[in-house]
Amino acid sequence: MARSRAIPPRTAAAASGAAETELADLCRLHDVGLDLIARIDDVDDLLDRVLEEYERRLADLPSDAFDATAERRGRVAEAKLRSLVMFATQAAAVKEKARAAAEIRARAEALEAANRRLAAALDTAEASRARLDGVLATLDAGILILAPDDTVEIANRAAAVLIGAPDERSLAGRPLPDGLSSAGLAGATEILFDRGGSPRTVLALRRGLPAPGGAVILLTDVTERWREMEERHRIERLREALWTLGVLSHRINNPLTAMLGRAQILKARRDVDPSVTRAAAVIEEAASRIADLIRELAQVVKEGRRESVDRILDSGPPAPGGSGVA
Amino acid sequence: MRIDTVEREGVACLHLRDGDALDVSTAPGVKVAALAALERGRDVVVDLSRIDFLDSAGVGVVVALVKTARSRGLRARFAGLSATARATLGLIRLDAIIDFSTDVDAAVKACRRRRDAEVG
Repeated sequence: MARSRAIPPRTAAAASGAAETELADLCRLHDVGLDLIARIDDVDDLLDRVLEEYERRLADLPSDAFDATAERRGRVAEAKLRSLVMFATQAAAVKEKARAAAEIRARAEALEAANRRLAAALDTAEASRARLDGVLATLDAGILILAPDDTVEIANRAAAVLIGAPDERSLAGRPLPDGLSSAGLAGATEILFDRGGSPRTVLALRRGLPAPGGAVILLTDVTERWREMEERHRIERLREALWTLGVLSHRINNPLTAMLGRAQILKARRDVDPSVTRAAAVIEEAASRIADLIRELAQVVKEGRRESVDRILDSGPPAPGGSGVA
Repeated sequence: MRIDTVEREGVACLHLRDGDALDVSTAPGVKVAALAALERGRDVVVDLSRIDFLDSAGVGVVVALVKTARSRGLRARFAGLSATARATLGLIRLDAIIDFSTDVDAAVKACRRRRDAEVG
């Protein structure tokens, strides 16, 4: 048989009052909690609300609620203190979350700002790169921009043509082509590239870049320049040779004329031994041939053509009975 | 309780003397002195280094001053908490809601930093 314990009427009323207070506090705690969570995105607003709730609850507490020596706070005061602690715990947690959320938002904003700056910098860099590519494309000289490890970062079309690469993109990211990778390529160096049987002389000028390093190589096709220079030197030498030839021709012509005249006189005389007449005829013929040669050389000197000199010097002796000196 | 108010770098520093409790009997005086400083547009630092006991009224003044200062765009800070005071405030997690300073110098510097940050 169950036994019930009798509760004195006044104690039962007090217990009932405390339970109601506690229940009301729990409901309020719940509502305040939701209110705090709703303000989590605004730390200042949240803090104002928390302080307001603290102030209200503290005003509702008896002054000895924090006194550990107070033996009998009463159940209602105890419940209010417990409720305050629960609220405080909740508020501290929400505030910490709000602080963390604010920090995350601030970092996200900073990250977004950094991303925007990065995107702008990339746009600028791309525009600069496009402008650089445009400028490089207009240059007749070949340009190779190298990374610190000597791989090609940027090459222009002229460089690809000079090196004999299919195009400038085929050079990017690759090691330097043979001939340019020499560590000794510190100053200006001439390099011979054979592009399918068409050898080209390329002048390579290398300059180092400041940190983080790398280099720029300027390639200039000097094949034509060198050929023109050689041609100028050849013409100069030819001009000197022709001048010498002209002087010689003039100097030879004078004694030759005298010699030919004497030979003709001797050949015409009847009072000399026939052997002398024959010898005079041989001398006349040889002198005539020399006179012809001198005349032709004089003409070449006048025209200034080396081919003619070569032709005259290479040709055999003229047919017998050639003419004498004019 | 005697309250000595000293101005430092635009901050009104309230030093609580001749008493070790911030309770229902002393809290109203502290509140009046602090509110007067806030009225003058001064940040307030309350030196609690001699306070060993806070009751709900004392804690209520702490909360009320912080709340009032914030509503006026000012700062109220509390410095030099004793272990007992810290335990009381810790019980209701107020130390997680409000920033407390180790001493008055640190509190004055913190007020100045906040003020400069808000002005800047």
